Amino acid sequence: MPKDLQSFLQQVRKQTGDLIEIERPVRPDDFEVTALLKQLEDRRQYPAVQFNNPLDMYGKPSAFPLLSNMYATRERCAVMLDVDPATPNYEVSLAFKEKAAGKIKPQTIAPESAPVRENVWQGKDADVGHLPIVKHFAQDIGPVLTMTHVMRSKQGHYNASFAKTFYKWDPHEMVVSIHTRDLSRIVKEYEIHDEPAPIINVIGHHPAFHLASLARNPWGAEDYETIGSFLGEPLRLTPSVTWGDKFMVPADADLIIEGEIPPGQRDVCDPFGEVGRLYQAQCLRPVFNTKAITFRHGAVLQDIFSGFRDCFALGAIPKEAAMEAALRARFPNLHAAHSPDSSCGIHAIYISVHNLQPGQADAIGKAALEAMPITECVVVVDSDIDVFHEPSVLWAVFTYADVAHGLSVMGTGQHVVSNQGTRLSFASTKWSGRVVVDATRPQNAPFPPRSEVPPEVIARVKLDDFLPKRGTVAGYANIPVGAK
Amino acid sequence: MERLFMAECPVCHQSFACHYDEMRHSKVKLFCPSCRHRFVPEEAASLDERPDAARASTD
Ligand SMILES: [Zn+2]
Repeated sequence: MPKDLQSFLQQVRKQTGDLIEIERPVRPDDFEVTALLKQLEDRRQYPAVQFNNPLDMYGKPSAFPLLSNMYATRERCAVMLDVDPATPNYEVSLAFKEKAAGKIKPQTIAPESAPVRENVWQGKDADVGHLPIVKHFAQDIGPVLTMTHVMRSKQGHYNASFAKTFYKWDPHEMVVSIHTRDLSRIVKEYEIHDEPAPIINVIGHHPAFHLASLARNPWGAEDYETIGSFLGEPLRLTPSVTWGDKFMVPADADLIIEGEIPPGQRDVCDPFGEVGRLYQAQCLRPVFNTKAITFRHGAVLQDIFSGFRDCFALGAIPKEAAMEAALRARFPNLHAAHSPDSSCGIHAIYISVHNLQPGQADAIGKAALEAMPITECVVVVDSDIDVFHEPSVLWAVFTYADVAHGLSVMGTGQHVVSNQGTRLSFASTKWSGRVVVDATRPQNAPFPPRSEVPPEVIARVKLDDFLPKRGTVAGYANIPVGAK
Repeated sequence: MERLFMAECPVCHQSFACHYDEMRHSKVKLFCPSCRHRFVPEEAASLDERPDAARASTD
């Protein structure tokens, strides 16, 4: 069976078991979905959540369940990339790098065999208001569809990237917020020819499909082949309803909106609470005219809880993979890299190294900043500091970093760019100064070792053999470890 | 990178961020995300288009 969203959800039920289904009706356009996800996050609980009875934009029961929070744990991201969820940290970043470098050619199947063509709404019936579209945050301009969009360049290659399509209280006209280099270039290509640009919004597929759309491919790369590499099998394609074989669409998607961007037409877009937990400023973005909605029986609509843990891995994992790709050859003693949740998977990268050489912390930090222009802070630690355990990294910063000599500031080092006002990039702060923090253990003077419990004793004395059985001590059920 | 300004809706008085180059002088009506009122920046109850003065003065 080809990989799709349902096959993935079965895997989650078996491997991590953290998918919950909510039967009570919810109003996604009245913040009820994000209100519930926020309360889960406040409890530090991060299950994938499927809302089985959401209402649509008319306040009526929608035919489509709504799935969110899928990317909120690295364990589930591991399952997406065929990695053992017991090793969800740098192993996942390495798998992303390996898959991003691979290519598998797609396969074409007839529309009659394509699950996504089991139901077709066209013309007046193609009313996006029947979908359960989420309004996420108080100042968002409206409900928004957050998943992968695909366009085809004039040269013929397909580009898949995350973008956002905002519902505008119109059955057939939306506005699409495009912020990637390649999708923007394709829009311009069509505008030069004064032609409408075909675009599809793929709302629901195996999550590896969406992760693949975050791979940093050069212009001209065939993203459908990259997606095949992420799936580990050829992506099945079928002709679209609107453009036939001039625009092929993923056959095993749950739901696809086919649309066109009319040349030169723009509409007001944003604010939207973006990945960096700030509102993207109101701006003008291309109009998206809906042409058709196609979906499989039992289709589930996917969404991302932006600015919260559901989106941090989407920023972090590709960055960690990029660090591995950019640094390994020059710094073979690289141990691991991680972009922490506290930086929303954007602003900071923690890098650990084996056997640090003199001056290397600064060099590796600067190389990391060069490779990742959006990142503003790199902390370099020794390999005995787990970069995926932020308290340990901060311990190293507060204990080892010498602010007089261990900070390397690039740019002006001040928070003021110019007298032109606050500047943001993709709704995340973009100050002019960037910093490398050398938080490796000082080597140029006598320095006490870090205290440790002898590891051989930890290996010998097993906690579960010593803890009382569950239920024998008041309150013990709240201790998250121990024998049952 | 984008410069932005804050506009206060003349109807519901919610302030929201707007892209300076695209929205400040283009005659395009802003769209209040809270009450959906549309207005040009000159009709805003208030505009905050300061440069980074506050941050600069504390640095
Ligand atoms: Zn208002």
